[in-house]
Amino acid sequence: MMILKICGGALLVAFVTLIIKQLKAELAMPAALAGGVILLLASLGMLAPQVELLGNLWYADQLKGYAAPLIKSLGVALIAQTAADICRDMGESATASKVEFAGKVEIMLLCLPMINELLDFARALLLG
Amino acid sequence: MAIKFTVITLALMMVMAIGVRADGISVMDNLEEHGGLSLDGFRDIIPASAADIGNDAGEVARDFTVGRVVDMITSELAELASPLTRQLSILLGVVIIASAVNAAKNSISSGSLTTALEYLTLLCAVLAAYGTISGVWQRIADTLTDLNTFMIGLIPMMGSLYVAGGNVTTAAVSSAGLMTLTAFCEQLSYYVLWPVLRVCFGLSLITGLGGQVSLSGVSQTLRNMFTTALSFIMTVLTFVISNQVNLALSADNVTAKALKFAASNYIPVVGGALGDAIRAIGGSIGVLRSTLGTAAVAVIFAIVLPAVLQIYLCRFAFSITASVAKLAGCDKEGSVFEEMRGMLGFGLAILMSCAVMFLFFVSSFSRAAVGLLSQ
Repeated sequence: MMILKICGGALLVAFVTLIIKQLKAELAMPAALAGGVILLLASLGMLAPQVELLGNLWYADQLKGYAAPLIKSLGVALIAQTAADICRDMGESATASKVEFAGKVEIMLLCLPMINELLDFARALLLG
Repeated sequence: MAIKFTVITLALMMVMAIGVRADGISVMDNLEEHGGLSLDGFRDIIPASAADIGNDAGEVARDFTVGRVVDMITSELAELASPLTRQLSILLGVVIIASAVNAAKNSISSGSLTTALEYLTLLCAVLAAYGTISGVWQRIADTLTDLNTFMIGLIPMMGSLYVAGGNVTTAAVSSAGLMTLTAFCEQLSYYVLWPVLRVCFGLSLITGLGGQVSLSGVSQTLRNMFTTALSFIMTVLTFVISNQVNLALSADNVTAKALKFAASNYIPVVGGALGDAIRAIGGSIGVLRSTLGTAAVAVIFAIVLPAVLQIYLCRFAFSITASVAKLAGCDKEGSVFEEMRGMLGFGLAILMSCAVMFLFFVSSFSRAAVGLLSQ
């Protein structure tokens, strides 16, 4: 049960951060940041079997064109959200907004091939 | 005197002998040799998409039974099953992934990131839907082209059989009417089918990707408007042309009756035999007409069947996908799939109306009374 490990890790990070804050306050934030990144990576690692399952489906080749950008975008959104939350915790709301904007741009970049394909369909249909 | 009597008697016997041939077995051969009325050319007008139906009109007509129809439907369904399953799997796969992304996005508090994810899931649904539907549109256009090509080849054959049966006016009226209908159906593909699909495509894109604006009602109204207008025009055309053909048939029958009456009563001795010969030829022409009519119905059926089945199965796939999408909480994606289903319905309406109109005229051709046989 990966969730038990993640929950245990989260409690450990919180506990260690609390102790570090009392001993040396300026190191508490980097410690929390490192803990958060490790937890996020562990959570994303849990998605690997599901992604592999999608890849092994018999119609995966046709589905890959749609599934890959969706899953990547979800990953981008989660990473950007986590980074933005950390920035907000540090009192950097402006940086958090920029991170969210960057995440949005990244998702739009992932959309570009699909938009291109859609425009090709439209062009073929409009020009007969 | 005796020599004169013998010569006249011999001459009369020879004339009567020529007349007796008319009700013999050589009538069909004579038709084919001198009238050019064979149905051999039928093979050449069958489009490639329906080439499997048979090699000549007689074979096509003979084999067009209920069992053959069931076989055709079964084999076509078997052929369509594999690609349809693949398409349905892709559509359902996209819906499932989209619903998973939708569920995961609830944990993201940023509104801008959520909007971008929504846009991406919708884009995937639209692309998957268009990937499925674009092939069907092309199939509809190709089927209409095949149908028109076949009818253009069939009209002269029908006309020559009308003329051979003594229905000269009917041949002219029927050929002109059918050419008008064929030209009308040909124009449908270029001026109605594709433009309406283009407009509906644009409207569904705006509805799907445009956010708050919903134009599905406009798209639906547009399709209904065109379907109603087309039904009205086709009904009027069918009514007018079938009435003209019936009038022409009546006129031709009166003329044929008058000619037969004159032949039977004013030509001495051989007049009766001539009437018998005309009846025999008329019967043969009736057989040819029925054969050509049944074969034409079979070919029209073979041309239209694959496209109709494909449209029905695709509509079924979109219905399932839309239902699953709505169950999975992807309402916008569900609306896109519903829109695609509606567009396929429009294509089906156009295709079916053209096919039914042609079937009506071919059936009335094979059932029309042969002028030479009118009593």
